[in-house]
Amino acid sequence: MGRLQPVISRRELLKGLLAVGAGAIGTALGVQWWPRQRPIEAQLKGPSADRGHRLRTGESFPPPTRTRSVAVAIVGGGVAGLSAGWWLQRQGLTDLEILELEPEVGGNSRSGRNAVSAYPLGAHYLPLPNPDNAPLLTLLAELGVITVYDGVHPPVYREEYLCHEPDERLYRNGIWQSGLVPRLGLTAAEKEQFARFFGFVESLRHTRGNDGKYVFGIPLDSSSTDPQYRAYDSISFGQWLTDQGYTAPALLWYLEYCCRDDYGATLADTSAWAGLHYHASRRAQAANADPDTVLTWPQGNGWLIERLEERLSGYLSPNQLVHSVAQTAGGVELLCLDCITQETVRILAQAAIVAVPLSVACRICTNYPAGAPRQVRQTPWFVANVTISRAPQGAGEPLAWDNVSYHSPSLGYVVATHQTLGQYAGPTVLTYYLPLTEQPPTTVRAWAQAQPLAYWQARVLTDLEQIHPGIGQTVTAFEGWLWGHGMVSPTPGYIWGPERQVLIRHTGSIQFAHTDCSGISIFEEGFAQGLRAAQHVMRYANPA
Amino acid sequence: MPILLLVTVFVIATCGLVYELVAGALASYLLGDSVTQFSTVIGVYLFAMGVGSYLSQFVKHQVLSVFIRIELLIGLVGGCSAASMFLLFEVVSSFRVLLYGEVLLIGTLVGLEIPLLMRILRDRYTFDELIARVFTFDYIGALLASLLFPLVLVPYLGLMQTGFLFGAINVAVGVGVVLVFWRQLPRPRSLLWLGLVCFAVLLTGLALSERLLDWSERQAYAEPVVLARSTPYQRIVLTQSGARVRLFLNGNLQFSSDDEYRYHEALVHPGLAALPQAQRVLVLGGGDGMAVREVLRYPGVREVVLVDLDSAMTGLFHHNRLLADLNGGALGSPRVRVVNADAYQWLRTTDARFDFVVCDFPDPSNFSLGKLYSTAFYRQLRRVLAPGGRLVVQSTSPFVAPKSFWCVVATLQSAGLRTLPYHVHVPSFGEWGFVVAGTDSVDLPRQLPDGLRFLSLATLPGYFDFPPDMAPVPVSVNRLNNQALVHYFEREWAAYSR
Repeated sequence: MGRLQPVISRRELLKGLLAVGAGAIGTALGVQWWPRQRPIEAQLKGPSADRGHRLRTGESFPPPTRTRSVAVAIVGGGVAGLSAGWWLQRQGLTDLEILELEPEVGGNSRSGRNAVSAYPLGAHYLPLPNPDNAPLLTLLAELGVITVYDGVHPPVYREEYLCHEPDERLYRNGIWQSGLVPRLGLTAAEKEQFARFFGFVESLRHTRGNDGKYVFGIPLDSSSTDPQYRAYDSISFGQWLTDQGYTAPALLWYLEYCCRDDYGATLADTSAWAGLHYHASRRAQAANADPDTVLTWPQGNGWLIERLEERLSGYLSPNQLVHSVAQTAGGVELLCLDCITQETVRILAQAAIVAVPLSVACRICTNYPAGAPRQVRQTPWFVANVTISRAPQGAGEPLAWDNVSYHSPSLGYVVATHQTLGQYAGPTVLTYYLPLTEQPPTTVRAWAQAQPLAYWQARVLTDLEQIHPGIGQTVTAFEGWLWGHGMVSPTPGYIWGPERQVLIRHTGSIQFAHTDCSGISIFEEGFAQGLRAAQHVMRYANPA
Repeated sequence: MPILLLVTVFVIATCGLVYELVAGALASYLLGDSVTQFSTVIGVYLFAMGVGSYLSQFVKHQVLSVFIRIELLIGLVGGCSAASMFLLFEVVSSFRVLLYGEVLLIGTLVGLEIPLLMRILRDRYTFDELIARVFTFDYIGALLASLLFPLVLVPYLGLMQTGFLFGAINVAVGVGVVLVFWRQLPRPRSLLWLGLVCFAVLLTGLALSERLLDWSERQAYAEPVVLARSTPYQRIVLTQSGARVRLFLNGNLQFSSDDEYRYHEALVHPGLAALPQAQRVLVLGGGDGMAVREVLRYPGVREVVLVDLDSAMTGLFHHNRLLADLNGGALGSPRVRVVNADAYQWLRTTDARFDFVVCDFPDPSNFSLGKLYSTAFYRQLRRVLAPGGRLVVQSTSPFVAPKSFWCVVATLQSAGLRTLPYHVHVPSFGEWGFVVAGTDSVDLPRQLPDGLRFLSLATLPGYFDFPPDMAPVPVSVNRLNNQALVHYFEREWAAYSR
């Protein structure tokens, strides 16, 4: 026997393994690249941050070159501003102007459109209003969403606008289940906690405080003032759940999902009052729908915006940066920079409604009320509209309108073509929602604004691949939308603290209307704030 | 040259495992129960390899030449294995005999490879070197195959194509060995030709895979397929046996020419014969033109608008002679206008009014189809009804799916229509239900057109009687926002076909 030698050298073995690796990668790449698809049409957009941020830099704007007058000036064309305008023109006050910074009105309810479908950029549904929300029911009747409304019987809704079945599904442990509340694969203890929580909120839903009002109302300022219930606002929802012995992971996941969905905040950052309000404030009635049904359209609440826009078309001035709102002896003086012509105009109004975020309102209003909120917690959101050549399916329940993964940091996606009537199986648009709640808003905002399109595209598509393997192959377009200041989060103490009350009780010819004034960013609150401000300024506006 | 032979080991190991995986996956697809299928296929395959190894000792002479022939044979048999199993699945009486027969054959041949190759290589390495090298490359090849198969081959190529591709690679190795050892082989030219022929067969198979798959699907129908076409909306398959023609959409029987007259006479006449003044008729769905044929029996009807999603469907039943004979050339009638559009979308935009509307949609088996049976849809239908007009809805089997059937009735009533449900027996379908509805009271016809083969005035009233096993049951109304009908339908038909 000669000397012992390894019969295969390490080098040979490595070469062999390398060959396998190269072969596998080469084949994979070859297959990926061979039927080469058209490149994905990708873009990253968002509200015009550069315009808004001019207010922060303290730059001096050009002096006004012209002056015009109007009875009521509305600063901001989001839901609150448009609702105020709608109410005023309905009361016969047509000497009004709505000044909007962006090229398009709508705020968080704006929408986009491509060759495949219209799609939301933010808010995408409206729950059926409570019977006592008469103004909103009136709006919906005017828009034809409600076909029969007599104020006595449950309204009849236009069926096409009610979210079609199947409305929701949840992906958990490899299978889609119907609804968003986890039901499959729960332990007995988890089921007990779900039952206990839902039983509790169900009784709260019908509970009235010592003033006879419901504990949780919509708009929230219609809620009971009973201190026993308002005390919920002093602790976080997470704390309250711990105190009550709620520990089931699936329940906590679901409740945090709800908080992130409506408030862009985690359980720890949400007031317990707001957390419970989400579950115990809805008492809708409808002749032809379940109480928990929602209204939706391909473009989400953009549909409502379009209808309001039609009614207010003569009063809308887009691309207007209002940089000063001052109380004068005769009324209100606004200085407004036209972002297209770069010309400042002086607008003399009898009254003004400042329907912008409070962080902006406090900068532009020279007489911003003392003690009113200046720093409101606003969570950044990333919304992606992903156009795909065919709708994804997956194991279990079929594709629904709202599709959520238990395992994803996102809130899932809604399908823009869900409300299509007839037989539709072609391309569609998925609207994917990601509230950036992992860090405090200011930190994550700066970070998010620095991320390039490629980052967001990879993040969203990687996440979607987890629930729909191969979906990347079907993507034809990707539109990212970064909401730097997405929406107000109701942190403990904000809703029933003293600061917000300053704005609600504020009198005078300058009124504030925004969901920041509520602490909850839902259509109903923006609408109610707009109407409150409009009703108040009516007394100052005398159309000559 | 030794390197070439080691590469050969690597390739044949990859190919060998791919054949095994193809057989396992195919057995899982076709027979179900993947654990059992994979387990038995792998067991039989490994056993067969042992048989091959045993048999290798009987190869005494011309080892290299035998090895090359075996390579070519494996390439051919292994390469065609997926295709042959797909194609023969519907034909053979026992698929398992075919499956395990092929697995045994391939396994035996693969089992022969390595021992023969080691004998070829034995003079070039020491024994321990030889064992180590051959098995190292063998196992690395197996790793590559096991990774490629689920990640790349099945998702991007498909089983049949994978078989052909790896068969071709296997043959290519054989051909490569022929070329390299040309001088040491007796009659290398004939081996080369043999190899090239095998290669060509496998490449042809690869190119034709799509069509072969298509052909194999046709075997799924009990009778000879005379026409099959995929459209953006459905797969249309027509079978014919003697005079009997059957239409399948997505595998579901739509009509059999034996008894379709029962269905279509029952669909049209109870409603339309009661409207002697009817002039304009709308048919929604029913691209086969059979309902239109029945409508055209009424000389008073001046215009029939047929709205069907699929232009391929209406095109076939207009221009194909066999099919146009079935509907009596109805779609070529000057009184008929064919519109290829989505019924719901078209209905929303039309201003036309009709005296009679026929809804001949597929059963509400999914949420898209469920919308065509909703209150919202029926309200649209009501809008296009001329004063005194009526409509009829085919509404699945009141025997198999009573809740579904009575849900259609309740939904029509909820849309403000008066209803008159009835049922007939269609041998191909069983007991089948329909609902006539109108804004005014709905009554039975007093006369029927001449020439009907099924309906008669004498038997007609009986169809409007529902015996206790099909009697009305309490149900919800089908709305877009609850799709109650699809839920009923799924449950009832699942219970029936279980």
